[in-house]
Amino acid sequence: MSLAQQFGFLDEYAKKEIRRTSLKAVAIPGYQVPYSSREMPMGRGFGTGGLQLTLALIGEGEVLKVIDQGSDDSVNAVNLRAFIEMTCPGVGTTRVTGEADLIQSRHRIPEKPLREDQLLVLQVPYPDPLVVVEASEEKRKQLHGEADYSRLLVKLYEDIVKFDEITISHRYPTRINDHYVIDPSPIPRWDVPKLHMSKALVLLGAGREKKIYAVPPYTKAEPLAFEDKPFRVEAFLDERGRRRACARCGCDSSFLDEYVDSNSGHQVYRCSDADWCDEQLTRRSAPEVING
Amino acid sequence: MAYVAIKGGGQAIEGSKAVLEYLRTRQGECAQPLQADTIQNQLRLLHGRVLSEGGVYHPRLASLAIKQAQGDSLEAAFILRAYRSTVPRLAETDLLDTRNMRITRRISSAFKDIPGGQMLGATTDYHLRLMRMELLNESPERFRAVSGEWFKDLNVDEIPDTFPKVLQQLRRDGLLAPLDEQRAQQTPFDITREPMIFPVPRSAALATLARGEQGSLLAIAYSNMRGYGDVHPTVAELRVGYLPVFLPHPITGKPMEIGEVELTECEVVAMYEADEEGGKPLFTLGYGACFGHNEVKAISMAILDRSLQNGVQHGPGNPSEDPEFVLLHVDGIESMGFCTHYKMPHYVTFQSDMDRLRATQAKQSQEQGE
Amino acid sequence: MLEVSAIWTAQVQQQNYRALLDAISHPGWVKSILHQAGSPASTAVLATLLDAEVSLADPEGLLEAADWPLLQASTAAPEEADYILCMGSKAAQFQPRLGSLPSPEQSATLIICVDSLHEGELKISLEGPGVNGNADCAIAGLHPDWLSQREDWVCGYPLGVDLLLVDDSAVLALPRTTRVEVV
Repeated sequence: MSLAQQFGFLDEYAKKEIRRTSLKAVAIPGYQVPYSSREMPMGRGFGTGGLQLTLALIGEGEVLKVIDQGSDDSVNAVNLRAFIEMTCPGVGTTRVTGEADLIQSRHRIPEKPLREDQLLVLQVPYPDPLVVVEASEEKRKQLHGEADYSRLLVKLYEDIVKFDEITISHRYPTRINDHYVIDPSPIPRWDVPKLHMSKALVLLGAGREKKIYAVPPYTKAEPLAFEDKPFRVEAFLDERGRRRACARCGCDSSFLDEYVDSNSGHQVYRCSDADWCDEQLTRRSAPEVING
Repeated sequence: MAYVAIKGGGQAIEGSKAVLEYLRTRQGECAQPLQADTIQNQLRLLHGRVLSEGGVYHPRLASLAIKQAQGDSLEAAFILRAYRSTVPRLAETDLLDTRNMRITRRISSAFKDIPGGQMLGATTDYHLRLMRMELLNESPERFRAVSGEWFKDLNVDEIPDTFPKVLQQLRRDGLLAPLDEQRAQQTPFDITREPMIFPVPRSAALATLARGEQGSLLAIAYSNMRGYGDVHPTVAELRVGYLPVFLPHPITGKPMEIGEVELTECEVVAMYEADEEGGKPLFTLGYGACFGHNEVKAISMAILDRSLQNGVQHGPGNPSEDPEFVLLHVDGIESMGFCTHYKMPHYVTFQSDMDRLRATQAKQSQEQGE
Repeated sequence: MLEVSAIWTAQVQQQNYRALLDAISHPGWVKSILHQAGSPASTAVLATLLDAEVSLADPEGLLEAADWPLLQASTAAPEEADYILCMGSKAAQFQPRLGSLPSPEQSATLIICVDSLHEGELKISLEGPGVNGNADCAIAGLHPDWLSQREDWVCGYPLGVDLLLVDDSAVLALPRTTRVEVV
């Protein structure tokens, strides 16, 4: 008894539903379109929503990049890529952002600006930014329809009163095309501005919560903020207030991962986006910058 | 160095597979691999649970899933469910009537005697939970002899195939609403094809509960039993047996039996309610059914069906009456998937968390310094 | 041109889906649709999107009878349908579903057959999500009333309809968010 293998694992009806849903998602930017979401052979929460989108999107001859935490070598990225390679013969894979037609990612948007002919699929654990203020989905759908985000703004304001800072670190609520506020998936704040007027289409898939939504190209994507408390990305400043640089490639304009060097016991910073880091390294062949 | 830990993911996955396979086989030289038939028969209750939570009645593959998952019922149900995504749907059965069940056990706690009689069948309900030490070293001969001799003294012709339903009596006596034949003809909501947008019809709730994870169903139903709710059920009938499945013949269109599924069905009667259209007050009903022999699940489901109907009618007064709360949290494949996903790397989001905490801390020390 | 029946294959449908996705992501882009010789591109669009889960209205009887069973879609009145196949030269005689505030996706998608998406008497300029600045299009065979009717249908955003204009070989999309100006 063998697992019947068809291109893209899913049966064609499942793909059609995802395709119809994704077109609606693009037509109503930021709106979470419900779909039935089939079970995949990996855990709910491991990117099944993104994976279903990728399987419905991809065709022979296309080149795919899969990233998790900015790295193509992270266990989950390896696992998803291997599954797609197994079920989609004729699809190429790459680690180079610029070579990919389609990029599936968890938690990061590549540093290298995407092009019009590229497409980004983001894996989403929690699709609805309103869930923190309203537990009932039925009520949330009404609030979204009316673009009523007053309770979310109150929540942000309470943060400021309490901490004098907006404490949301990632999954930053972002308003799309002046109407729907989305959870942009657990990307850091660093990546949120990349959604604004992006040249590439961004599709977001939540498999467990059974929703697909989109940020179309050339569309406004504005993080919620207040005039006196603007939205701020991660700072990466050292003790003297200088921007830290990647210890490997020297780049001082990328999102950094922080490690404790097991030999020296010091904190080390390196680019989170592995391909970006490689590219900077080749371009500059910069000397090791030791973190002070 | 620490930061290379993220690399070499592929190798790590291969290694992890290998060690898992080692653990499956480590019993030693005289070990016998588990046979699918052994799992289906000797672990029949686990097997039934996986069939039910997996949502595909495929006994052989359910056994394989249990073997592969090394006995983890969530994981096994998951493997079965993922298999379902790859197979097309060829046909739909008409409504199946559980009055036609070939019964192996049926009881009612509402009446001392019921038409057809109580039939205790296989249950551990009245067994003392004492260790049967002799099973630790069971002789294969004795083991085979038990089943070999089982039918010897039974007059099979005397055992009725089916029994009338207890609810029929209650309906006849006007204590319960008559069967709504018209509603029975409606196409049920298909949770595998349509996204649930709340409010959902009762059929969507029943389908979700039928595939639900046993422990989750039990926990929420138990909350209702204990006091976060007031269903106060009486088990009108609990039946276990085999339900014949009919499909229309491809040429003649006449229904023909294509096999049977093992099923547990529970009907609970709950407190009566006034009729909104001025009729007599009537008992209310809760319904539960699942693949396999699983009475805890069927009873829990029947209670939840009742509590959810209460919630729909009067507004949810507690968690077990809230359709979103119950239906979005009982699926084992979804909840265990999301639970395990927290083990995946979350370096990036944690980096952002640290950034916010440091900024907030810095602000506070600045203020305190002023 | 393709062999007869290729539009029903998974491979062609995947490619046509991507053309549709490109089109709806970039209102104003004219994307080629792989289609059968002698059969309109609109049939290939329908084949890509429809199955037994959705309904189609064909008030003008544009679809070949033989294609209905292949599509598997149920038939519905235009007021009820998920998808509506329309003739561009004739103004709409129906009120499509616009969705609801909590569920705006429960609205119709209109597939409108026009003569040409490359040149024509109707010159329009587009603005909105997906359009970098603005996009100019020239269309032949679209009754001007369509645009004013569309205005009525999409003015209550997020409610609205999405249009797929299809000529003999290509598609151009006007999702509900696109602002259209006749120039």
